[in-house]
Amino acid sequence: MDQGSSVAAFAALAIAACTSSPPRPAGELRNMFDLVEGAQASEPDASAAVTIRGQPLRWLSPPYGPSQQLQQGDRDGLVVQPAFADARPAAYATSEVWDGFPRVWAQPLYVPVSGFDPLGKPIRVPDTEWIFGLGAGSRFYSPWWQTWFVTVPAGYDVEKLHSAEAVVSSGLPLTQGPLRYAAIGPREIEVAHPDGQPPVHPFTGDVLLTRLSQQGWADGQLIWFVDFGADRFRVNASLVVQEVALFRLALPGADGTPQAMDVPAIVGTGPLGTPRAADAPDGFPRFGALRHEYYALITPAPGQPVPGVFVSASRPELRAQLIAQLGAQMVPLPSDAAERLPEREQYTLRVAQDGGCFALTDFPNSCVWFDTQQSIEGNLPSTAFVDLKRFSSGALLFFDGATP
Amino acid sequence: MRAGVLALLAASGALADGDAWSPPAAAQPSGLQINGYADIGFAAAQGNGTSFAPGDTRIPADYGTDPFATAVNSRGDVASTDPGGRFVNGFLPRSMNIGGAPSAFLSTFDVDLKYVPAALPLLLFGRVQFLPRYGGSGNETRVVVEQAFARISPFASQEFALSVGKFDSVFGIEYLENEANLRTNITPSLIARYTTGQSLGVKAFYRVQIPGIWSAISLNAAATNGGTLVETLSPPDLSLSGRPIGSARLGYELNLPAFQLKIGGSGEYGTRNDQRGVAVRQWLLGADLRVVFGGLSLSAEGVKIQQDPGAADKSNGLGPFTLVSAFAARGAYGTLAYALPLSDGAFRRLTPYLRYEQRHAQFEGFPAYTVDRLTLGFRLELWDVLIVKAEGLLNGEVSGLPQVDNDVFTSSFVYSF
Repeated sequence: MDQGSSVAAFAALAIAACTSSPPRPAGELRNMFDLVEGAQASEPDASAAVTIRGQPLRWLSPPYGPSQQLQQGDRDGLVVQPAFADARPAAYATSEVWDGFPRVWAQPLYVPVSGFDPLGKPIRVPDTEWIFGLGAGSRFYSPWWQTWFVTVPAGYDVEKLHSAEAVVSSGLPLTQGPLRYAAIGPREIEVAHPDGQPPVHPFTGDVLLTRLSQQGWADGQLIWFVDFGADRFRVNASLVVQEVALFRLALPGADGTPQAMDVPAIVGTGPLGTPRAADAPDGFPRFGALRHEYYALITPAPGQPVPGVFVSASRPELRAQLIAQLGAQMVPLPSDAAERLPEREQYTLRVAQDGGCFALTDFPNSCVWFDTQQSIEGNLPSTAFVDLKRFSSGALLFFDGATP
Repeated sequence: MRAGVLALLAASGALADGDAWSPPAAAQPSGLQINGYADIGFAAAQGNGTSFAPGDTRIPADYGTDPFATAVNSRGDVASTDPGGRFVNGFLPRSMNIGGAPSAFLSTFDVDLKYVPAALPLLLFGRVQFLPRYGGSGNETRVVVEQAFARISPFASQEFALSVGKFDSVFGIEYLENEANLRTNITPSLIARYTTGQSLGVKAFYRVQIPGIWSAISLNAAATNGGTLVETLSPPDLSLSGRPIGSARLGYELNLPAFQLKIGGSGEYGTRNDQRGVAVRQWLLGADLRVVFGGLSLSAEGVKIQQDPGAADKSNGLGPFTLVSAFAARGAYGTLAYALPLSDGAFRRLTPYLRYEQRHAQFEGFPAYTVDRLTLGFRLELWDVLIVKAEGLLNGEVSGLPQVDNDVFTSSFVYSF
């Protein structure tokens, strides 16, 4: 290198040293407050999670539904996002998004009780609220809680118990309870639904539970939360919440980068590369609440079968939209036999490895579906998976016909 | 007379700012000197030796308590940092791992190497410390190069010195007592974690004497990798962010024959060195005071620190962690001591002391808390080479965090060579 080049190189190095920073994990948490704010600003990720009051409900409006449906006018809605899990139709909400976090932990939740009945069931102290160990202002906040029942003696002033510090300092007996999923957020938010109608699965029409916000305490402040129930997830001994992989099917763009297909995601049953039997005793899913997101890149090769997205001919608008996005070859017309299937809607937007199977008489058994973790990981090369470095949370609202 | 006053001022300054200044190197005999000390302790802590409250399962465990409170030696090592399986995020001191069991231990075996080349205004210094430890993985003994620097004093007529290498902090006054053989009491204050860390870089010291009013003004400034936080919080040996941290202290001292007053103001600004983002900053401000009147001495110091939030790439002397949380704290201590001469024989001097301190802190998204501590103890000097110290630390939780039994009794036997 000549002297001039050396000087230029040194200068470039010095400038780079002063201005650049190597890529780092973002460590960004968006809670329900942030998602609502983002949705108000039309930020794409936030809008996918929250529908602002009075705005169209995407999955219930054209081209997915017959007519435009609007979110209830006096509160925002957590979007019911259709998905597939363990080869079954599913749906989930998203109440938090973590970018660049290595893991997420469960925090303590204290519930005042006066004792336990003969069956061991806790007896709540009337007119008391739950006390969350942490508010949503911390990046260590999570909607996953380890319940601790606080046994409060008669005559005890429960108004003293408005924070974790107060509970622990009180010295009152603590009894471990169940794990619970409850997301702290704005007062006026619930699972998305049109005015006067309950929340439903967008494709199957199954009615889902309404989740109303409730009041609680965190760090001495009154807060609001949406309770998604007990026993919705698992933790290890260090209270690290167990993740499952979530796959967003994608196609390579012109520059080779993954472009997400506009189809439901697939919720895995274990971490990437470690699928498990679906943890759903009595149909009640304990998996899927913490999702580690990946692109699953489908790369159709010349001479190889072309993947197909199943959409009934009875949904012409949706077919037209998908054909515009993916090309007609990836949205083949189902056979008459397929159209006649009673459970046809359960396959809406499900992706098969070879769309040619839609025309076969033994549909849907003729298809290799990308609808389970095992199928996706088993039928795509290991290079097909791109870690989005993102966790999202939200218990399954619907799984295999159950509405937990 | 004037020369005598200057000599007195210089000597008192050297005593106070031992690392910051020494007589011109050329005036010292050349050759290699080997000095050092050993600090052997015995301590007992309440509870399990930590400050983690039983029943508090919030995560990170080290955000809702003060894990530095149960210090047992002059390095600030605590009786235990075992969180019982709960996740911690690197806001921790080192641990002697004695837990709640009384134990003797060897805190530090220190070897100092000093070389002063003849006829050169240069001092070369190295301090190696052997830290025998036993922990969960068995033998956890470490060898630490705590200091290694070259100092040049280019002007014979000026108190001006430049140092390059790894050296003591320039912030406040407590770093002057980092070593067990120099410290009046045993344990560092609750704010020592912010001001007493060694770091690697360059340092300049300048002092101007004003003999007419028995005074001197000094400036001590440094640009280093890790700033002045202790190594568990901010690693000194590497610049993770690629940016130096600037720190400085401006001091005034009044050195009357029977009365000494020293006051100073310190500041620090730069990129946090427990992460790699260049725009994630920290700043510190501090003030200090020392008064010596006869055998009575009062020293006091206050500090305020603010750290920006960063990404999820936290890393410090204890290893990799997760989030770089925003953090703010302030605290202060005052120490009163009285040096009572005893004899010219074995028992030379007895110094009872008392320290009171408070610290207020808050991590991003966590409730603010305040702790305090009362330290009572004595120091007995035997001949010129042995020191026996004992003290009790009464730790209190003033507000914002659960009560926990974490008082400590600790003692120290130090010999120097």
